[in-house]
Amino acid sequence: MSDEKAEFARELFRRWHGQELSDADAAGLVAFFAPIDALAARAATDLGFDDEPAGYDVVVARLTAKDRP
Amino acid sequence: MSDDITTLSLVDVAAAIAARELSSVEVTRACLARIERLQPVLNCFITLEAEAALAAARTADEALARGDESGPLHGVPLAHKDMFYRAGQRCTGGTKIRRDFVPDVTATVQARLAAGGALCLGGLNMSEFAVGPTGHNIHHGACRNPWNPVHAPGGSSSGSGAAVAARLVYGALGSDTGGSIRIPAALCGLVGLKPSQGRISRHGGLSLSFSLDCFGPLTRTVRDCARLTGLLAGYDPLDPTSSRAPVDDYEQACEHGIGGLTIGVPADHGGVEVAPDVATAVTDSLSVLAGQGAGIVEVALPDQARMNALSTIVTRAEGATIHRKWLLERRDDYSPQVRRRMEMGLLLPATRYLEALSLRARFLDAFASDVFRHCDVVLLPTVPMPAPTLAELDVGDSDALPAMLQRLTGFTRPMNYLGLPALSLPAGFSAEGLPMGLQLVGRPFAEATLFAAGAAYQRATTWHERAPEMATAEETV
Repeated sequence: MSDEKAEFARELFRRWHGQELSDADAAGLVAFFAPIDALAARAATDLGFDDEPAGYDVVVARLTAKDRP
Repeated sequence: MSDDITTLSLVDVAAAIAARELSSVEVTRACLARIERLQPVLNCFITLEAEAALAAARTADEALARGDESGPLHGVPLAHKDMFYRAGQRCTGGTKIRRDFVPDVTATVQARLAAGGALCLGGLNMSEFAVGPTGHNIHHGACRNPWNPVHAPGGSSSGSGAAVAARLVYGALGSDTGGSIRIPAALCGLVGLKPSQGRISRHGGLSLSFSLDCFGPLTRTVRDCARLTGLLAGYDPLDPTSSRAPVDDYEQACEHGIGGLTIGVPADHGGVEVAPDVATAVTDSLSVLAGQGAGIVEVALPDQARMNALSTIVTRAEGATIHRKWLLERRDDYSPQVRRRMEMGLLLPATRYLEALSLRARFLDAFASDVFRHCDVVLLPTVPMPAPTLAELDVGDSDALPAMLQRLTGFTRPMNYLGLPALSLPAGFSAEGLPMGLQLVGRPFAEATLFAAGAAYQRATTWHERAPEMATAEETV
């Protein structure tokens, strides 16, 4: 993972959380975080303008099984 | 004789107590005797409450003698992952930070099992703060797999898996945010249910992710699991996220056949590498279920890697929200691996978290149209390999951590993101003699369908009847 991203993580921790990360912690955290965030960012390109978290409850209600054994 | 008692199923021991063929005291003493012998090897318990349990067993026997049976678990000893509160009782969450925490409320799941007559022998080992699929715990010591103590029991409900498999108790509660019930169930040769989101109250349990946490049982048989689920399920005014959907008769569902049920099998494993033994077990299980009358069709699952990532985003953002104060003030009181996973949430912008939550509807919709339009239940491995050794999984917070987590939770975490019910079943043994699990996934609130399919599978197989040798051979401990 790039030094630039690790430095960004370190700066973010400093500004948002008032905490200093070591070089190793910052690099390790970014290595762990970056691939997951990249996948999530790609998935987010499918997000529609009207999508919102409560949409999930609507789909669950529609799918709730009616054919119980 | 005491080993004979502990090999009974939960349903059978409850029937024997109710019929006064066995007393609760006899049963509890048999469990405590096994715990005394096997705890030094397995490290299942964080807190053992032997005297209190025996006193409760005496009370249960006295009540029964008066004709006062409290419920379908009257006098049956259970123990639970050490994260379900009981007012006035220590509850560590598997942590250093909460080593001496004593809650002043009782979890609804604890209260419902107690109302059903169950006894509680204590708090079981678990991954720190319910984070981690392996069974490691640097604060309370690693829990070990009763099929081979060198191997991991899986986590985060590690003690629940190991204790039930080793016949120390008849059932246990676990929690599941990314696979933490199903993974130890699979690696220890048990049945484990991650219920639909909202099916079982989360009031009074340690939280990791408000949106994805589920509580549920680990047992030896599907019927045992159905009994516990029947007691646990249903709306709870103390948990506003619990569902008002009606609760089916799960034990009755176990009697149903599966003729006409269609089982979907994923066309591929979404990039997760599956060990040959596990692949064979899954293929064999399809033959068993087809023999019971189920139809089998191939289905294409939505992008599991993306669901896995989105699920991780939700868990980390919510986990970091819960833990931020301690992460800043007591950073060194976390294990490095748990701290790293929690701190990831502190890097996330709010938009990424809300994107992940907003996309749940789309993925669930896609799952419905691509999968549940063609089948009633999806069958896939629970864990893609038999239990690795604890040493193999001891990667700390190294660069190997993401790959290890991805592989262990590759088939379980997506179901948490979708909020679907998933039942893990024992599906055979590897060449090394380690258990393997298969996972049945159903529509929201279709737990009864999963119990029907799981019970049909267990009527035709005997994997669930096998007990680990170490748990029956006194000379090995």
